[in-house]
Amino acid sequence: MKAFSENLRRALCGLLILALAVSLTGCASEKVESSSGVSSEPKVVRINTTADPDSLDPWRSAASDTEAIFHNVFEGLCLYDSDGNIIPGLAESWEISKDGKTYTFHLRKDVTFHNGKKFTSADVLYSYNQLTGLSGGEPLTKKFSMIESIEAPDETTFVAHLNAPSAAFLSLAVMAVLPEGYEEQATQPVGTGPFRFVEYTPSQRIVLEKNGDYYGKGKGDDPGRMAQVDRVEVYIMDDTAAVVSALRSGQLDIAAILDAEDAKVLEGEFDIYNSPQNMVQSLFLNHKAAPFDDVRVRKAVSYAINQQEIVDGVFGGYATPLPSNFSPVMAAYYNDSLEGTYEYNVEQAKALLKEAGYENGFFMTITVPANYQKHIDTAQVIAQQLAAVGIDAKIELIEWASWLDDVYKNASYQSTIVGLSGKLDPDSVLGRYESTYASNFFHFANEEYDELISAARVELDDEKRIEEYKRCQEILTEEAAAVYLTDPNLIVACRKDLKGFTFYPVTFYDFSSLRYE
Amino acid sequence: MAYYARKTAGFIVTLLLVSLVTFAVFQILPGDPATAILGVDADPVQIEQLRHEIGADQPLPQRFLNWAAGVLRGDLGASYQYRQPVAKLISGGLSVTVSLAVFSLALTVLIGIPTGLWLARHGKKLYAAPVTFLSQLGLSVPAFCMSIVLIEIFSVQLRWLPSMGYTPWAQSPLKCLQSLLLPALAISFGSSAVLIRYVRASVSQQEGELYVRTAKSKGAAPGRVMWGHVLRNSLIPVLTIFGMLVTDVLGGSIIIENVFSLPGIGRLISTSIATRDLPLIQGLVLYLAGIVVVCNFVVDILYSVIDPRIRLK
Repeated sequence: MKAFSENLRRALCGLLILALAVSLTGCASEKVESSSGVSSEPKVVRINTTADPDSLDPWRSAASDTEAIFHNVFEGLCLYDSDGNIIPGLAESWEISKDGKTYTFHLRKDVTFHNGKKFTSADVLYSYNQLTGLSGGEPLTKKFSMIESIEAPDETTFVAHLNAPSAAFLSLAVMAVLPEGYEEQATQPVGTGPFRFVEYTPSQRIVLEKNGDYYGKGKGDDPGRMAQVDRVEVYIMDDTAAVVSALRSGQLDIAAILDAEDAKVLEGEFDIYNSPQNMVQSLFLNHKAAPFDDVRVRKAVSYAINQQEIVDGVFGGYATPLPSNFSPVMAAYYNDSLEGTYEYNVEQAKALLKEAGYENGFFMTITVPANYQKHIDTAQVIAQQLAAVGIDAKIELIEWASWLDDVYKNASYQSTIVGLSGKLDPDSVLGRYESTYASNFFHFANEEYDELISAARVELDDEKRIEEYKRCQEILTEEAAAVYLTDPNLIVACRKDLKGFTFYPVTFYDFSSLRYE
Repeated sequence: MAYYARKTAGFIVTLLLVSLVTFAVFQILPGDPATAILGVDADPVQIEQLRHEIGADQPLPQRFLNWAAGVLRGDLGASYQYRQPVAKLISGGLSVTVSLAVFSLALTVLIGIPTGLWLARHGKKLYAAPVTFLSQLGLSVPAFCMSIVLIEIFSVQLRWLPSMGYTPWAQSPLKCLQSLLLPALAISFGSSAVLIRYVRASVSQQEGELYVRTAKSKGAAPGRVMWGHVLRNSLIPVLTIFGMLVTDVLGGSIIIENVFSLPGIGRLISTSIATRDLPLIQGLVLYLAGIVVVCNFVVDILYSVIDPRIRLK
């Protein structure tokens, strides 16, 4: 009888939970989508992304996945093309003074924001005041600390005075310009791009719509940057299997961030594109943790790793082996003479270990973020390869948020496998090794390197600058600052009648280039 | 009266303890919400800015007090990641999870009870073997495996039903049902198998009881014996099982949500933990704990109303 009443109690409890929950959901208000009311079928592109945007306000966002989508909504004074060249954006031209310290931007006259406000120099002034903190208030980023003062002499001119020449300034000026006095960026963002923001449903989707008033139409039949589809729906899905079945069942038109195995399944039915993505996947070593304080040990580990085995085994061939901390996708700055420096050589590795006094190998821990299967797979291949030279590597899986804290912020680790993604300017990639860089979690310190990085920052002669960055890569390779592995290719599957998918050297899905044929 | 006062006090203390423990656990756990949200490409200034905006730079006890004071005013705070009120996010997520659970339970009953009754009658016949086999399969195949099979058949091959996303009921009832049908089938495949077994066993047991023999011997028609006598008696234990299935289905739907990319409570829980979104986690825990505690509380009160002796214990 007692058991029965206990069961009855549980049953009642369950039913009550249900009843209560049902009544609660009645309160949830649902927004009814407004239909566009167009007679012809609107052209819609549906694509996936892995995570929620970190912020809808571009000044407060840092995640490259967010930028990949919202660069369609926001524009800066400058834009970049698919080769990473800086091209005119909201500024149709600019002049740089002889001393490299004064930039005069001539702004377009035919631009309106998505909320109907006309774009003028006041918006640029407002934006750069907010970003730099020059009008009082905290700066929103450190990137623009080279700006000393700004002014807007007339409606279509904006002038920035720098405290020193800056080679990176134009590539930083891709930063979004936002309308003056508009406060709703974090919930209803407004920009000038070829697509306008429509809605964002947390953990479900982001919807963008063609900006019919966009200024960037090309001449004649050339659409320029004008959108050729009416609507883009971005679905937030963290499960790749779900992405593949959504594509195969016609619920997605493009599936991005796929695995090689998925690409093979989808090959016949869909167009598959792939390209290096300007990411550096490495076995990063903590130079303050023995035995990686010894360059001979770091070199030994580099020789002991067979990159091709990782490219083939982990990435199914869809990855590019790297000789240094730089992706060949940034072709102009890439130092290809370093390729093959650490050709797989077990004997060499053993000899170096012996020289460093680790004849019998040693024990090491590889800390790997648990949410990146590819990094985990890579760690397993590496652990096996290291065993061949007597190094006993233990893989420790760690949650991403803990990785950010323990490894990235506090550098309490011995070695880790992760991918660091690059931006348009080489400084954002190579500057990570500057000894004064806040997140130099490798504890790499090299005087010549620091000097080169500082010099390249203010070097306006492109050729000299390229030489400096190439030398930086050389130092990283010579010092075996880390064990450089691959740039994992971005794999995209596209419906066959959807054309125009373009890769950029930064994570950016250019929706304006997409068209149905 | 003292009885109710004691129960109410216990109720409040439980909720307070639950939220204190969650709060403490997330302080011990490594990981800073601002870094977790912005990632490795963030500028240190951006991280500081975000920490300031979400109040992560305030001392611990103050943060807890602020939060608790907000809760007392009925304000669960705003999510770090989504910058939206926690209450709104939770009610949005709950509408998905509960719709899915209700739909799954309805399917469970619709499949489970008739099949169970049928099997109680015909279970030993050869033609019932496929049904028995299917219900065995339902018991042994986890719901997420079933989901993958269902997606392959109904979404990829036949293209009848969507495999992802959710359309709210208010927007289009038909689309809402379509978006929930596959996940609900995946869940109810297992839970109806449980129900089938209980119905079948319970009916078989009741049929052997003396009152059935009496009814039969006084000449009652087999249908009348079944519907008038056996069914009523055998559904009492089934009802108990059903109550437990409710909790199972609610729990199961959290996993299934991820497979079908449904924006329910399950996804909120996993993303909020990954981004260390403390207000959202606190809100979710408070909500879930609150529902359980309230239900227990109401059941206690109900018991005492039904049986006044309980109050004296």
